Amino acid sequence: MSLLATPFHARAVEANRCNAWENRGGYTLARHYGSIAEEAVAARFGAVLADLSWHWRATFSGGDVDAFVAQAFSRNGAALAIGMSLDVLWLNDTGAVRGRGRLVRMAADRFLLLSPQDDRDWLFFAASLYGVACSEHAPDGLLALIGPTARKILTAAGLDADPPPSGLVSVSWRGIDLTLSRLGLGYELWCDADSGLIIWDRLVAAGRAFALLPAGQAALDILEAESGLFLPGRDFAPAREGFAPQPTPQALGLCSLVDRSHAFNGKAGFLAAGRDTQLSGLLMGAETEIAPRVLTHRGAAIGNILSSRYSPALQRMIGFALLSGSWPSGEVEAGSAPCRIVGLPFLPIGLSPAPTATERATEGAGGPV
Amino acid sequence: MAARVAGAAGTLRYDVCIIGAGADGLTAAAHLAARGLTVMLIERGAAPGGRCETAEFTPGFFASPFADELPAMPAEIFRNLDLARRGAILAPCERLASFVDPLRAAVIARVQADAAGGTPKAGLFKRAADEAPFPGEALSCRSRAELEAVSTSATLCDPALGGSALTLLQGTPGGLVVGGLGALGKALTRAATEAGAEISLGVEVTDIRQRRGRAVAVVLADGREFEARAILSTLDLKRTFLSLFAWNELPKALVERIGAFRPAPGIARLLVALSAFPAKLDPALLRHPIAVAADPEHAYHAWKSGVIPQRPPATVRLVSAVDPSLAPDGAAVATVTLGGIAHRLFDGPWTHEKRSKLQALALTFLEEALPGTAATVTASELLVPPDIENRLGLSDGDLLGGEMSAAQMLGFRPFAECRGTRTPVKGLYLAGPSSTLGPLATGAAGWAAATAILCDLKEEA
Repeated sequence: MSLLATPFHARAVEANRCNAWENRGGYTLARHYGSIAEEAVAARFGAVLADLSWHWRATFSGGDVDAFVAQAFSRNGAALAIGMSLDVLWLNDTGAVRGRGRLVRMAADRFLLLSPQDDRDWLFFAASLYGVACSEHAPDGLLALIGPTARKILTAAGLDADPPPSGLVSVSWRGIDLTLSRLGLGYELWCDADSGLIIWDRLVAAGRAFALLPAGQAALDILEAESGLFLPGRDFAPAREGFAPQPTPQALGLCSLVDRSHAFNGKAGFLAAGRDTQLSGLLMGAETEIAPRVLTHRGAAIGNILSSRYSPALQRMIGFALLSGSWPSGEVEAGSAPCRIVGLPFLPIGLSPAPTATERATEGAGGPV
Repeated sequence: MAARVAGAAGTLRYDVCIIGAGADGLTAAAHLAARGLTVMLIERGAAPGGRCETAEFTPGFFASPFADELPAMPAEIFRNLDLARRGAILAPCERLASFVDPLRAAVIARVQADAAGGTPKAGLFKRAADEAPFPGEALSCRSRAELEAVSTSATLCDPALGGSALTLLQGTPGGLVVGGLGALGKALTRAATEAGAEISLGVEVTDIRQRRGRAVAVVLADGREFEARAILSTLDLKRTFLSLFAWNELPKALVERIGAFRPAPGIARLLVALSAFPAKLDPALLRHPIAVAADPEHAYHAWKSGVIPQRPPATVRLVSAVDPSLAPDGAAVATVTLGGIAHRLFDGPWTHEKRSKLQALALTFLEEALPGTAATVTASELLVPPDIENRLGLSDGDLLGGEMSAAQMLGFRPFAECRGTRTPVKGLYLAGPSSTLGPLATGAAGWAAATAILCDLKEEA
């Protein structure tokens, strides 16, 4: 099967000086346009523009859609107000995690699910049991604008609407209908395929004075890891069989995404799955990526390393670890490499504008005597 | 951590007193305080950081006055001090690997190993016959012109001169910092204070007291005196030895040697506020420093003669193209760095006319590098070596801390008896720009000095 092009592909071809591409979800995407490190750090100086069109987006509407979302997901989506969203898991019948995504209520009888990995057959079949109609947004464009100058770029481009955190708004932007959201690390612009290039061009033109760079998927992975986002398909392999026992939310340290007071598919298995583990960050002493392995403290196993990658902002390898108990103090070891356990996120990304002159002048500079 | 205690005459006693809260001083303080020593940093400026400063040079426009970027800090130090999580985010520098990179790393490792090896037992500061040469010494007989076709640095040398290849060892730029170099200074300050170091601001050290040939205390301009088991100076060589000791307290030969230490060609910086972002120029070009074609040989001799060179090495940088927080929306900040600028001109001090002449030259370079921008200049500030001397307290305004020539580099920097971090005065350590690692990497000299102090204090205990 040949790969698909996203609505922004023509501009990605122009910008991709390295001609570095990769396949995500069946789409051709720029792995990086220039330097991966420069793109990852640019989101902390100005802003980056990243193509998220490969993310799976499904709409559920009609029928008994409230009952469906209440039963299908680990948190009660039926209680959402219009335009608001929740980070959710969906589990198989034995309580193992099939996927992770963001559930948005678009209208009284319509929900949207956004996830980096699709689970079409499972969720569409479940929806059909409630008489819910399902559709995918495969040809549409989804563009992320991430960084402290993202808001200024939107304003400079004439897009004044500002959705609340975890929310979205529909706007008409100089003749183009689009949806603006804040569901991920920054802003997302949802558009139909025909408007993709116009939107890209408008943002790039407005972003010239605000240090805007296009960022490839490699930089996006780094930013998501630095922000503590632990995602299916990249950081863990979800259960793909109806009765697979693993991985449970406990085993992934994702119990915070489960509402125990709410009835959902797989709850019995989830409740029987045993003790929670803690998802935490690892600052590593190693210079290269460390494969998943046991994490030890003074020779005793204390958990597992799940994935690791280099963070150019932190100038070191970082990784996710699952700990079976409380954090030990001091250094732990991944093989022969020393590591330090820290909380997540490693380094959050700010969406707020840079500090003003007054803020700069008054910001504390330590503890002079 | 041991508590600070009062000395016999009511003076406060610390394990270590550090003179100067620049990058080296703060790095050393964080390292020493984290290992349980009581540390006092004394800084004459109103804020710690030294050249790690972000200044508002005209309302709404910010820049790092002394340099856009510092030499790269070794990643080990950056990670150990957790500087990113303390607010120092650096833009990665895209550059091709050079043959000097491993040499520089080897020099840093050598100084660090010497520092950790304790005080040499046989013949203090004398090189043993079987001692391995310093890494990079082979560069002492090479010229820069032999090894580099086109120089893109504002650091000036006579490229045809033997030994000028040593200037290649100067640390490669470590990258712009979000919010300017002041953010790096604040992150280092947090690392030091959170480890337990104390900082005394706005007061200058006037004297280093000796007892039985050992430095034992520092005296402050306000009359306070701090006793210390070790004193670390991050000032330059001349300021440390010629202004903090009475001349008769040091051997005459040592004073003469220090007096003969040569400064490096100075730099001037023009900080420029632009009313409009040069949006018509190639954005990829704007993100990187732009070297202006120069005549370095002529500029070197002009510097030696104390005249303003016609074509000094210069670098133009639109810093707000990478960090828009430095300028108001729609505007921009650029800097022009000129090399080979003399501290003292042959015909007298830096007058308004001479500054205006240099400023016009810098604006010409700005227009050459970024066509169309000269017409949008709304304000600017020029810093010449005497300004840098006044603001940072560096002799001759020399940010490099001394010429990078064969006679005062590597094992001979600042001079053979003072290489590394230990000095001929027992209990006194040097980690400023004049020290062996000063021009090679940010923070490395402070880190090595802290290692030497820890080692020596342990030996003495």
